[in-house]
Amino acid sequence: MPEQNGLSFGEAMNQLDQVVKQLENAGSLELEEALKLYEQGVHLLGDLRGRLQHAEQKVTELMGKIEDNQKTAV
Amino acid sequence: MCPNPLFSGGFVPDASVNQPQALTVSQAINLINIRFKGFPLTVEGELSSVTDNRGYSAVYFALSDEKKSKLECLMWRNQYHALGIKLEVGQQVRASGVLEVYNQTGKLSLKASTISLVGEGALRARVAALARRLEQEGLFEASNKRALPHFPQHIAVVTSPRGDAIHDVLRTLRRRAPHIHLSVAGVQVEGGGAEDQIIEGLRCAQAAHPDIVLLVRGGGSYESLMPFNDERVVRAIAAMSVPVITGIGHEPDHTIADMVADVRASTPTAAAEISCPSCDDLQAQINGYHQQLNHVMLTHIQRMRHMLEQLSTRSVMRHPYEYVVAYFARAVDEIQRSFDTAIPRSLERRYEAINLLELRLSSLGHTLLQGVTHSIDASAHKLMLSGEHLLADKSDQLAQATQHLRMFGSRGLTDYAAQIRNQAGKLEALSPLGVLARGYSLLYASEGASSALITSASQVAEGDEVSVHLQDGEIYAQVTRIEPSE
Repeated sequence: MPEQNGLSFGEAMNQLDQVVKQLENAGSLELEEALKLYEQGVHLLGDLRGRLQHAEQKVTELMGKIEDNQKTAV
Repeated sequence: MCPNPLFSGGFVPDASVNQPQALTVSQAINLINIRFKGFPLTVEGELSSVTDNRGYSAVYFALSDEKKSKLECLMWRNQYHALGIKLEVGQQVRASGVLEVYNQTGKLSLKASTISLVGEGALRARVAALARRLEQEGLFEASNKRALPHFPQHIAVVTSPRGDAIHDVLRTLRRRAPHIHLSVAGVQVEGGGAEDQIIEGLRCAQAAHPDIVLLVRGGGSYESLMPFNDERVVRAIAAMSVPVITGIGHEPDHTIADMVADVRASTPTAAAEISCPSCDDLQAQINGYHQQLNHVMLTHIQRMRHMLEQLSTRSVMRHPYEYVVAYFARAVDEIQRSFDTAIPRSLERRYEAINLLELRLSSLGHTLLQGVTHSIDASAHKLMLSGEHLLADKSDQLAQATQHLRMFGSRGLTDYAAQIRNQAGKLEALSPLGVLARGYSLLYASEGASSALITSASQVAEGDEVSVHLQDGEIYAQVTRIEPSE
């Protein structure tokens, strides 16, 4: 899963929060800026959702591995 | 001769009298007590009872021996406190004093002036004194205790190579943690020279760099545990760089080595159990972590997802058009509207001016045309009147003249039209509206009622308010500086 701009989950989350806040206050932005922010927000959202899904898959996979290990150990 | 030395001298019964002289009870007891004072006694025995009641002026106790003989004793309270020892039933003591009969009860007691512990009692008192001294030195402070490592890899055992203790320890460690490396320093743990061997054993153990040292021995008499109450042994334990666990004797035995050790176990087996976690316990713990790991991680992901969904359902992300485009669309509409109203207004004014010119032009042309037509018509009429006479010969002339006149009339008309066009052009050029449209402006003094057109810099002074008339509106301004042109 590619990490957007090498940000950690928390950092990306904060950034998305900032983007949303800025957009909610779009009156102080140029149209181009607002559009760019929105685009960035959509990318961040997709990236974060993907990361969560990936993490969940990984956990399931690893738990499976632990159980396999136990079976072979027994 | 008197067979009893007790009664020699003093109140000697009169030998010359057959019937001995009787004494009162008080006299008898008094006599006895006086005699007893000359015979100080030292008695050794086990304390079979002790009555230490604050309300009494003396501490009462009884000494007995294995033949069940019993001697009542007492000691004045102030003397007892000066002794510094606490009498307890079972202690072996040596009491010195004189016998005395209490005249109220006739009871014989040993009135002790000194008491000392003997045997194990004496040993215990000595050990207790050493323990007190070392405690005052701070040797047993909790802050000096080293923490045990959670997962020791190497344990050194200092104990007798023979006996149950070493077997108990080895069996326990093998069962609980077969992976742990063991070193054993076999030492003599009792009897002469045991202290030196224990100290040397501790030194060797430390040299092997274990994680923990176990100092253990099986149960035994109090006296046999004395090497563990030795000051040098205690100090050697305190000086160890590795945590020490003691398991000496069996409850309730308690040595100074136990007090100074980092952890004290009641028995060798207990010491081995404390020293390391059992593999079974670890397995159970790991299984617990297994359960937790899955749960905690998935919960964490769920929480993150929830936070993310909350962000994504913010109305900016749900209705981006509203925030990203609509705001600007509204702004554009606003500008469009002001354009729509601003442009027609300025155009309208110019159209009005042009219409006015057009109207004047057409009425002017009309009047001129009418005038010319009238004069032509009049001439034609006159010609016609005179022509009737001259018709025949003059008809050609008339036609010619008519032709001339027509030409003249139309030429005059053409000239007028050109002139009018010319005038209209000038008019438009001179119209202030036209001038304004080209970017010029009119400056009016806006002071008071006289809003006169300003054509010279001398008409205004600094600070005057002026209005600037442009093609599409007026600007109100203030004169900040006047610079007459050269």
